[in-house]
Amino acid sequence: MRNILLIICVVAAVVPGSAAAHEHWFVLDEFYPAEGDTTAFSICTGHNFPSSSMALKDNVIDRSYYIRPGPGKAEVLESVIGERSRTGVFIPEAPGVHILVFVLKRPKAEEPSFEAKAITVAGGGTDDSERYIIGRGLEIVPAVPVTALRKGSDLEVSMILDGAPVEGEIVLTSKNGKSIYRRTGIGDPAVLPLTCSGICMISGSYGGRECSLVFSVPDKKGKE
Amino acid sequence: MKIKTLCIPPVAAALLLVSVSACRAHGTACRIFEGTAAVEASYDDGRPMAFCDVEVYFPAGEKAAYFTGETDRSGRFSFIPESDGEYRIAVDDGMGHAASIVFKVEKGKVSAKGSEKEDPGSGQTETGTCIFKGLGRNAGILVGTSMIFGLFGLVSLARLYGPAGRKKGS
Repeated sequence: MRNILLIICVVAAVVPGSAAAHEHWFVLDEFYPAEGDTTAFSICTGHNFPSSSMALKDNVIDRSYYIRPGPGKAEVLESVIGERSRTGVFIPEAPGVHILVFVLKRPKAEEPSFEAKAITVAGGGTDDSERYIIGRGLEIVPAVPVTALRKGSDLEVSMILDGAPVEGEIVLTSKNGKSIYRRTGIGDPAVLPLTCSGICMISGSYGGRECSLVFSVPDKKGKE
Repeated sequence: MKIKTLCIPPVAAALLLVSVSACRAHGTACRIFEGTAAVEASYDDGRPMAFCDVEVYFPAGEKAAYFTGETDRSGRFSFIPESDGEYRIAVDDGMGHAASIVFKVEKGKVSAKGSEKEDPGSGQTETGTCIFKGLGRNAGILVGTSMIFGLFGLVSLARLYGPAGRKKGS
């Protein structure tokens, strides 16, 4: 009897992973690279985060760029289409927070359909959560520096559109495949329990638009 | 023991309720306007598949597109068929969602293949797919059914492990 229940539990635990919506996200070889190190990234699409299932075509990538530390330091991110993802490299030339961004939009559409971000902190520079806000489009913004997070931490996040908080549904997906669903409100951030260290994704939707944020939770020793 | 065995299906349903309610996928649907070679593609949440790539295959089983085009802002696409036969229209948003529909042209008259049986009177048919998983509208049915069974499952769990259940089980 207990064995049967255990099997059912295992099956039920697997179902959410296979039933999740398909998303778009960044994967970086190194989320905390050394200053000046060439860092590879992938633009991924699929159901099984962090594994990518397909590569996005050129015509749906509206723009992709990264923001360096300092005011107005945006650089274009070039990527090439691969078999199951798009790939490219970037070089964090200064210590501190770098935000990678890609925006998906059909060529004639007025609004983007998906906006994805990744947070990296290079060279052991200052990790300031104020720098996580782009202020343009739909984005998910953690309230605390990601380098301060650990497995078991509770993370407060907001979803904002063009700099203003909005209400919407968000999902935290960890590398172990577990998903946690919450709702953000205006002035009422969602609290997400981090169940493991390593890469994780928070995705959200509001008014027909969708977005994702990827970052890495350091392990107990503070390493990625 | 008998009570515990009887409780397995509701427990399974309760667990599936928790699992499937996490489903947030959106599928696609494609329908044809009666008597015309005009289609409308949309996502399951009602949004049109606007400005998406369209490929028309003729005959329907051909692998190479007969010609290509693009949906308008309402997710619509139309053309005038040159010859009688089966056509397939495939709509792809390039981001992992696709929808397709097959229709027949006989003596210049357009009819959706199989539509009369599925939806009598409307002359419309729908075939939607997500490239990765065929959840689509079925997901809604699955969630709804699971919620009903799941509620029974939760009640059964409470009864099984409550004081009355333990007494009967022993």
